[in-house]
Amino acid sequence: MLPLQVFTQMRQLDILLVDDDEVDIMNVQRSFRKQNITHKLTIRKDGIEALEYLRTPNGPKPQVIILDINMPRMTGLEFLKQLRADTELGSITVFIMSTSSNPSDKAAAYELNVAGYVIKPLSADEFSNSLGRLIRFVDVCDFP
Amino acid sequence: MALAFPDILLVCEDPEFTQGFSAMVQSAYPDSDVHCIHPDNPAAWDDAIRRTQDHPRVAFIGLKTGSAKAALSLRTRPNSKTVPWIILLHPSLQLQEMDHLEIPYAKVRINWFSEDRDREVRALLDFLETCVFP
Repeated sequence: MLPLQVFTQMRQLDILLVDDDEVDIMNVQRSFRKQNITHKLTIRKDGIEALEYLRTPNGPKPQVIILDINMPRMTGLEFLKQLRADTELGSITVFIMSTSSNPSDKAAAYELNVAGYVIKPLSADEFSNSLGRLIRFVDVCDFP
Repeated sequence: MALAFPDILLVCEDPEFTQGFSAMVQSAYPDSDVHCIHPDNPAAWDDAIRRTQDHPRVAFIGLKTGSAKAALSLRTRPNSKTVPWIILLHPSLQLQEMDHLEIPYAKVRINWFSEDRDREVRALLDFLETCVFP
């Protein structure tokens, strides 16, 4: 494994986190602070809330969505199907960050064109490292 | 969480990039297999799929508009739909040139001829190492 690199952030992006787990939300927020990530982070707690947010007239369109799989009311995969079918929202870059290592979840997510699937680590440090790697990758991506 | 680094299929029309990128991956991850095909040779896809059947953690990567189009046509083949795709944008390529392709994959800008190259490739490799694949 390569050593972790110094975080260098060049621009601010809008990132939507869709996750119902309060601990995981706190872990993401803590990781952003710890790694000096200044991208705007918006949180919605399930797929229905997230779709309502994204479909707000003249509302913000995040460049990146970090999506959990197991959520109440609407799962991450159901949300993803609706997102990809939406002509306005279908091309948003989506990363899965989930505790699910179910092979069918991974296959379904990649079939719906996610840009990556990360298993949520149990320890806070590992969680922060994984999220940091995801964001460093996002920082070398181009967005419309 | 360190996982096995995925084997990579590189769809690329630029031999310098193909050689350089393959060398960087294999230097960092000697166990990884970087299999390269030229976009003008889509028949190589079937061979690539056969080669990677036993190693399903594969990231497929395109470059420049021609490669991206070829990659998209390959995407319709059997066995390709659960494979993650990352588009590598050539320094000469403007993102707008790809708008009509409507590809929801991550699009990574590698400034191959600048000092940022190593950092950018490293960010890509680090992330792939963090991901799990079908």
